[in-house]
Amino acid sequence: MFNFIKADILRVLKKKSYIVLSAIVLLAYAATLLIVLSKNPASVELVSGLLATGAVLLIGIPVFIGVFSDDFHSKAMQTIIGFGTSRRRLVLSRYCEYLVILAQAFAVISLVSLLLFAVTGNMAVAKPIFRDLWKEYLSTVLCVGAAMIIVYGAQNTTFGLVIFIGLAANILDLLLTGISFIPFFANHNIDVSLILPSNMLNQAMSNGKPIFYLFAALCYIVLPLVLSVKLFEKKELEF
Amino acid sequence: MSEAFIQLKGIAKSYGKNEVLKGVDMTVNQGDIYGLIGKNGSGKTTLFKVILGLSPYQAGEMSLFGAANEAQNRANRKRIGFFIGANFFGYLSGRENLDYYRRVKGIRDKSEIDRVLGIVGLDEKQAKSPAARYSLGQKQRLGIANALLGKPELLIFDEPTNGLDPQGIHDIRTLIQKINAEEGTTIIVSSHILSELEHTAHRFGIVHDGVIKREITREEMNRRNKTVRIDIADSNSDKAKAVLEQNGIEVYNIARKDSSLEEFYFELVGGEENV
Repeated sequence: MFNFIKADILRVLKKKSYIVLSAIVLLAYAATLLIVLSKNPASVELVSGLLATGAVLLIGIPVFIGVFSDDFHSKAMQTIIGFGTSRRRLVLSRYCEYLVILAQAFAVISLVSLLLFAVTGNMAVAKPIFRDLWKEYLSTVLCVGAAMIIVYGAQNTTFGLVIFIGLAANILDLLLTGISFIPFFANHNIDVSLILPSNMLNQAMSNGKPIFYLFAALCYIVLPLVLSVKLFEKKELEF
Repeated sequence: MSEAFIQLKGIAKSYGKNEVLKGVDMTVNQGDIYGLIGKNGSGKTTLFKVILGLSPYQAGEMSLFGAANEAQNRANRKRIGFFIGANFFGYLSGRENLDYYRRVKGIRDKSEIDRVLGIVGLDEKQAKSPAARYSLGQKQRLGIANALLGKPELLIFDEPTNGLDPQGIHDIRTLIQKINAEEGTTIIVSSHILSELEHTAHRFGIVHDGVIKREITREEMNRRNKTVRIDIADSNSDKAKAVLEQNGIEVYNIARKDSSLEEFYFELVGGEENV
């Protein structure tokens, strides 16, 4: 399995469009942070969430395309399965690849942020940036799991990407918050939007109880991966 | 007796009500060049996909390299190289694509890439170009190079000459014979063009309407022929006929044999040595 993960990570990192886009996102991120730090360092707390969400979307989407869509379109997946790799192993390795590649990108952003805080002498207000950046990373770890059900279950990477964006950009949050105002839910004080990855993570972080983390991991990592493998197991793969 | 590398018994597969494979029996022995012949849509590609685990089947038994169950079949698929269709990342060069598959297959020796590029005749300049810019022939060659990575014991080629020019067709045919003769690799190759496999394969499987109608060796095919052909100069045909008849030998047919278009083509361009 390590072979696939390493081969695939190197493949995505050789993709010029990914490298160029990542560089642009990094520059835009650094420029924005620098402007905020030079104007009003105290407002870092206000913009850190927005910066983190922007970074996760602008880097998370190309990584998603590189790992999942390219794999389907190139038919490399068929070659790997035809070589005797189990579908379970393939699905798990693709999930791991996504996490590793995104973590690499976030590590670079964190490092650049650290340098900017150090250079401008604003280390005292640095905490929210790193907290929100890695919270968004954790949230993405959950979002990808849910999107993979569509990617492998329906063999549709485009719709999988739509689900991923819907979850990662909190678009579904608006929808589910609206549903929570339906009298039945409102009367029973049920907030449906709490089932979303980012909200689950917020609950876990604010309560500090490991059970919330476990629940989020079960709902958005374990169950989606099991479901993805089961649905993918009997699928016809075209050449 | 040589080992059966692939043994299929009663393999059946359908898409809804459409039965694509209706109880396929097939045996491919070690050292064979097995020609799978059938018209388009007869089930050749589906059969390959079943063998490679890309397509589930509803009934029958399959054994790869003598495996007793599906888990062993899956493990034994590592001994198979195959080319069914283009399977490359367009933004990577041919060499980078091969390097990707080398890593995936767990092959440590990096020189393996140069070996397979050399076999299929892709030069360094071509190998460094992005795969998206490859011509159809170059894609076929790259696909075959990928199949050859790691010297598999069994190769599966699905219509490898599809869309190739005469030189390309000849090169692939020669390549198949060369790999089989020099490395003892067992090869299954499919085609809907009979002449393409006639002189390449040792054994033939005739697939039609979802079943293999007959498996036959080339020797058996030859034994079926009860007439003899003698090639002589056109100007001597009358004399030859007279001599044969004087000796009580009945002549069934006298026909002028024209050069095949392929022979004529190679006479003109002088290329049979490109593999």
